[in-house]
Amino acid sequence: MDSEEKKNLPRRKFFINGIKAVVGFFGLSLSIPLAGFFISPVLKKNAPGWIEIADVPALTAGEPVGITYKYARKDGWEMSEIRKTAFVLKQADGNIAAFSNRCTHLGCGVTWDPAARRFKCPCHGGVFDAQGKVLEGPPPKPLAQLAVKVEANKIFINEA
Amino acid sequence: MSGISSLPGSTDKNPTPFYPDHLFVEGVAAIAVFLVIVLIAFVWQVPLEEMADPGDTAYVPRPEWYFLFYFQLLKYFEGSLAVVAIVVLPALTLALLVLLPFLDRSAATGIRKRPLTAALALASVLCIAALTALSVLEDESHLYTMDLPPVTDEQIAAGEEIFGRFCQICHSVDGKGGFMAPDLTQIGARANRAYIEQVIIDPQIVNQATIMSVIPLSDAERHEVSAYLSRKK
Amino acid sequence: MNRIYQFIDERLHLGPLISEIANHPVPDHANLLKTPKAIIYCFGGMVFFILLLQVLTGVFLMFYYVPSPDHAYASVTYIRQETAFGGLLQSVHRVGASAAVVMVMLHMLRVVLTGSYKNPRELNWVVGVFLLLLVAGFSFTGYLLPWDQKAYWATTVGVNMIAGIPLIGGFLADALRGGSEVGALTLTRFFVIHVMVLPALLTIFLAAHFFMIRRQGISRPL
Repeated sequence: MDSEEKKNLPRRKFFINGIKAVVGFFGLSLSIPLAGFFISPVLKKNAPGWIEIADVPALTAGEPVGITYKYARKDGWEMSEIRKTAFVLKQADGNIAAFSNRCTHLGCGVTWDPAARRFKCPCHGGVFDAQGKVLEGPPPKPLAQLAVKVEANKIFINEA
Repeated sequence: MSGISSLPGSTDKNPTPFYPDHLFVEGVAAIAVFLVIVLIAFVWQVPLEEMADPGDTAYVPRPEWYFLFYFQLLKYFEGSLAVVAIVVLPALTLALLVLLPFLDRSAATGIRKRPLTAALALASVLCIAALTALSVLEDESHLYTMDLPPVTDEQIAAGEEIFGRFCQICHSVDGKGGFMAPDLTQIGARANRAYIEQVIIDPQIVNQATIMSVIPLSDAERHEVSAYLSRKK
Repeated sequence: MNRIYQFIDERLHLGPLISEIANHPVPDHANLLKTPKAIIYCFGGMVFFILLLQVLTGVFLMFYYVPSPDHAYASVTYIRQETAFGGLLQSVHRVGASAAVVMVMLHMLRVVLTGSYKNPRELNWVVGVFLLLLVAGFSFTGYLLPWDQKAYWATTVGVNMIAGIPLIGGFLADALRGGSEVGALTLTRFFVIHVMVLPALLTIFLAAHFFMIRRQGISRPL
């Protein structure tokens, strides 16, 4: 390294730091808006809220009933109709519980077998009792409980 | 790599290297350009007009500003002459551009030593600027002009209230209102205040085919509505 | 970082290549640190910067945009009203297009006034003319994509201009529209040209442009 180059070192260092600052400026000022733009649909609350699905008098205590309900969901720039099934159960004490029909193992739809009084999953042999507790098979958790409310003998569930 | 230094341009005794010196300068210039672009984008929120309607015969399309000069040029070639503006002139311009280095072959690079090229370049710039200006001016002369009182915040608020009572049955704004008539969410970006006033005074003068009826507003009320709508951008 | 670089350098021998790019001399008359007049030499670099910005904002807009007459307008409205920074992003893309045109004009004017297109740089000038056409193509095809009134009618007029070319004009216009009217096929065509065809051509021509600048150096001062 000759003396000329040595003399230039601080100058060179200044410019390298300057380039780092420029890169930092663009990194910050571009990544924040772009990441926000990309992620914003995920952060958006998009819950349809309470949905009426059944009348209380139609239920028999202890007997889960599968009810298919529909609701409109804003799917990005499009409105789409979502169809889902929930099992509604009138408990012995008159309280209402609702379960998602999705097996907690891998998401297949379970069905109610009235003879065996069990929920059975058609995919990998998961079995749940009428309260949604796991009896057999691979499911790690009981069937998901849905938030329920009853108003004027109508049952509503909350789609989160 | 000796080719580079043997060519003209790198004959300085102590040339600056591209990295880091020059790259830093380019970076600072890029920040300046970036800030100007973002600032303009902030201030001038790009207007989105109503959805494309192939059945609309009243719409007057205008190209982006940098094509306006050509748009204006097309007006001067009528009938069978249109082919001159569509084919002959663009082809000639393109040929002249591509062939420029093969036509202007002298070694001279200074502007004063190349009067023809410099004059041609200047003439092109002036032509483009003049045609663009003409196009803008001709469009503006078609716009309606009126002596109107200055817009105040009270006017805007009152205008919104009147608009809700009389106009929103048919027109929508910000997603609220009827579907009978065009959405006016961004009307201020498309029309000036005098135009809006004219529509309210007599819709048929502006558009013969419109089904809009004359709305019985006082002058003051009309000014309020136009003040409100002209701010909807 | 250093060890990763060493690992790669041992195998690919990048050193000479990098120093060739990094130490490339910038002549004094084009160096803003030496003379303020050098500012006229920065327009080309700024075009490149704006094009990078356009690619970046364009890619992100594409995450939501749908090139179909049924959904294009709704997806653009969604970008503008319901995403974070979406309106700003669309504005930057649109303003960036104008800024690119301004910078291209200034760059061209500089090259003409400094006579930089002369021997030995004739080829680079011709490549530059093609780049100008590509930028115009970007702006023409991009104009249709929001599918609003302005987009539809400006494109109708633009394509009808092509139809005015004698003999082959009608066929060319139909081929570009995918039919006799601006419609669904026109929109997908313009979209693919805007986001695939033109960027590919732009990359090739820009690479040639930069290669020639490096090979031939910046032209001598006036």
